[in-house]
Amino acid sequence: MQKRWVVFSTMLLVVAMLAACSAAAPAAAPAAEAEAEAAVPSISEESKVAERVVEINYDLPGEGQADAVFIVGRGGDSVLLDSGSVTDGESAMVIQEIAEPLVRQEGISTKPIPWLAESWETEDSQTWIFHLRQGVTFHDGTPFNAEAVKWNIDRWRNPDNEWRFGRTFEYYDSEFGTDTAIEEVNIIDDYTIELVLAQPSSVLLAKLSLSFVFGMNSPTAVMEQGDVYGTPAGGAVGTGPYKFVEWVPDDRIVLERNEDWWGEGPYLSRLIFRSIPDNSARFAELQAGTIHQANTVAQTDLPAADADPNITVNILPSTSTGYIAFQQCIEPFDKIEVRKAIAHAVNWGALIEPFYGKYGELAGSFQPPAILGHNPDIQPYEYNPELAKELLAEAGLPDGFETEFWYIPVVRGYFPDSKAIAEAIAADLARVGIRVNLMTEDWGAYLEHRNEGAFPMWMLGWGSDNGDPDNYLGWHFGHPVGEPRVEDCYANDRVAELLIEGRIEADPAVREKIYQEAEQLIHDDVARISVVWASTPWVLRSNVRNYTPVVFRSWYDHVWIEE
Amino acid sequence: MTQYIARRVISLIPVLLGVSIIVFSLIRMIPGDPVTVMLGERARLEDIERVREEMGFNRPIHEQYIEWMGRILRGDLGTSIINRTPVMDELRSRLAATIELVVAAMIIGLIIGISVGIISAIKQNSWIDLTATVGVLLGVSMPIYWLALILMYALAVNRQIFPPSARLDVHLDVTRHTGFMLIDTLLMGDMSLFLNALWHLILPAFVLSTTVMPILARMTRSSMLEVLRQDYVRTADAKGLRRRTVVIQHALKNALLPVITIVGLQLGGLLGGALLTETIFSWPGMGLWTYRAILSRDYPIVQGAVLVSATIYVVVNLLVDISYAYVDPRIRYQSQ
Repeated sequence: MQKRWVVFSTMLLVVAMLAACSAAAPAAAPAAEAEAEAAVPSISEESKVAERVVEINYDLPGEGQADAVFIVGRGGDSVLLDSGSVTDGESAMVIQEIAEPLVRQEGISTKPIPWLAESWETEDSQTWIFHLRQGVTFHDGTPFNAEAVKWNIDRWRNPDNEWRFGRTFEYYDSEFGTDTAIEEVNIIDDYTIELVLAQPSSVLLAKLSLSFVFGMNSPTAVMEQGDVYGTPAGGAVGTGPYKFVEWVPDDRIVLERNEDWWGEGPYLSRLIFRSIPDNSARFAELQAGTIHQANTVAQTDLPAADADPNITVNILPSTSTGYIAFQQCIEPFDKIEVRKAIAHAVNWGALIEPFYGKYGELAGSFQPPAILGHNPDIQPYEYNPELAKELLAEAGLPDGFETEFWYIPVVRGYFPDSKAIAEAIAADLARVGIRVNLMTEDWGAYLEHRNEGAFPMWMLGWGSDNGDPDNYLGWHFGHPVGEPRVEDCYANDRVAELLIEGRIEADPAVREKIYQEAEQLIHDDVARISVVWASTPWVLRSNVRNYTPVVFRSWYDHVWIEE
Repeated sequence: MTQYIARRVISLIPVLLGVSIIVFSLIRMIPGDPVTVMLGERARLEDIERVREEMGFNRPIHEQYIEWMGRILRGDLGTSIINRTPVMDELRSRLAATIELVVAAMIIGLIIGISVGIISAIKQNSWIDLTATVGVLLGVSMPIYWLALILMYALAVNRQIFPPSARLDVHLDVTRHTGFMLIDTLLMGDMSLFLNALWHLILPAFVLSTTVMPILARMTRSSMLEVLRQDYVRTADAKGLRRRTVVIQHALKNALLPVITIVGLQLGGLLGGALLTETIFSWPGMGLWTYRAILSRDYPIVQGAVLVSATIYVVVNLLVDISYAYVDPRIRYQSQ
């Protein structure tokens, strides 16, 4: 009997140990000095109000330099290589090399450019006609045409489609929920297809440009492979610059050059994604030169990365915001004076240097400058504890109050050390009499409770999925007029109206004005406090050229290695 | 003997049943579910509810458990929630990777641990014994994570004697029959592939072996010391047998009994230590797999992996008990 208990308790211990490890999240991002140059192509951004003209200047490889094998080291493995049915970054970064969407956005712009569709036309933003690129074939030889496009769209939008194999297409559902769904897909001829939406939406193009979600899979391959499609036993078949070769789970995914790609390049013979779960081990491999890129380098390793002449740290403009939010249906956060008091009580600017170094910028408006509708007139809240105390007195709380303040349990670029940041904020708040109890819980539970509106005051952040403001401001503040969101209960009908208008309006210049107005209202209401616009550092070997890690595109189609 | 084995095998059933219930409920006790983790920052209440419904998490927990158990009895460990692949398929290669690592670590641990133990026992209180004692203390107190990184930097980054991680060079490829890299490369008949796999195995296996090495050394030493004081050893010495014969033939055989027990029990430690070793050396085994599955709340994988690990653990301990009889004839006579 005693022995059995030993077995029991040992197993419990194993389980508990494993469980304990789940709390240790991968470390990420910021701090330290770095030179942004060389590896990333120069991106010149002339933001002429709405038309964000962005040119990417690539230099091309010389003789014999276009056949290298490129190895990416990353923290996790992909989940599934079936575009549309995954939401994780590790799957996305492989899928977007294999599958391509109809539309793409160039550089960091929100300007759609033709991709598998050569052009499109619409009169009312509700009926869209796409003219497809001709002569493109999938990696398995299946021709890319209107039929293939219709087959893919039908698979995304119909939960009972027999080729879904029980997979969920959450991204489609959240982007094209019931009100904005694609109602009809009509083949006009071999290379022309018509989409009819449930209601007008100018965001359609931006949405479709997410290659890891709306990249085209070969219908033949999906139907032949059946439910192993996208898994290590199957693979993925698209039209993109790289072809799937092999996937050894938690070890590597190997892609090879698509010699018949319709675009220019690629310049690598093979592209290998290796899973190296430990941050320090991954960085060690980069130093040893056994990988060319290390994703998510620990903050503590960044100085070493800078000091190493073989390693370059690159930064791209931010598309991510870290914020503080309030539950505005409960006391005392229902009072604008209280929210304002918090905004003025904390020295937000002082958080940037120690926690973000050059990988973060003090936020004014909610959306960073790279996103359409960013409002440059909004300044960060001024640090003024005296004013904060006056505001509290006005709210009838001269002695302050006590509340819970929830901080995220994981490391994110927008809050690389959320506990320490929360402590700094708490210290400032204590000076004006606001006593906060710092709380956190497991990530899954945290997100769930946030959704249920259970936190009075909390930290979280956002990174753009597709560069469109509807996925930024719209995602956080959009709701039917008069029905505030559960999570924060922020009710401003004008904001709700604006965000609905912004989704439908087709003219980017008008959209920019709409979102800028919404930004101003949100700022005036202190509906949320935007703390930081964070950038991700990309750490690569110095001889890597043309790496373009921008969401919604292939990152490696122009990459080559200078030998 | 047969009866004894049969009884022990039957007694495994309630143990494993218990483990299955514990793991099934423990993983569900961790807050958050696969749906929330999967959807991340973009999770919306209505999406979560819908996906949860689709995946059947809204049903009573005992119904879910019974369904899972029913499938297991039919040899089906279920399907991963996250990527929808059968758990059993993945388990094979994972298990092989971990067993390869754990067995290699155990072999290294046994060779070094027992040798050090014997030498310290024979040369009790000599400088060798003292050095070994200090070494054992260091071994026990050194976190495996730290040791792994130090060795990686020393032997794989600064001097590239060993590869920093993985099971095989990324440019090489091997047809996977058994999942055991050493066996698969041999089956392909390519010696350079085999050596490459072996070369990748040494560093992680050595690091992992340090979790068992100290205790093996200590156990061997103390049990040797005890045996060396026994009358029959004195008799053997007095007979004029060579010292080596006395130590190896007479003393060691008897001293090994407690060591074998330890080997069985330490296997649990090795499986646990394998989690860290696999993480640092990017070894695609059970530990790494389970760890990821817990992070994403992939219940079927966690349940399957823990249940299989538990089964291995109990079975190995059963084998250890049975092996006593072969190592020590006295036990064999008793049970007859």
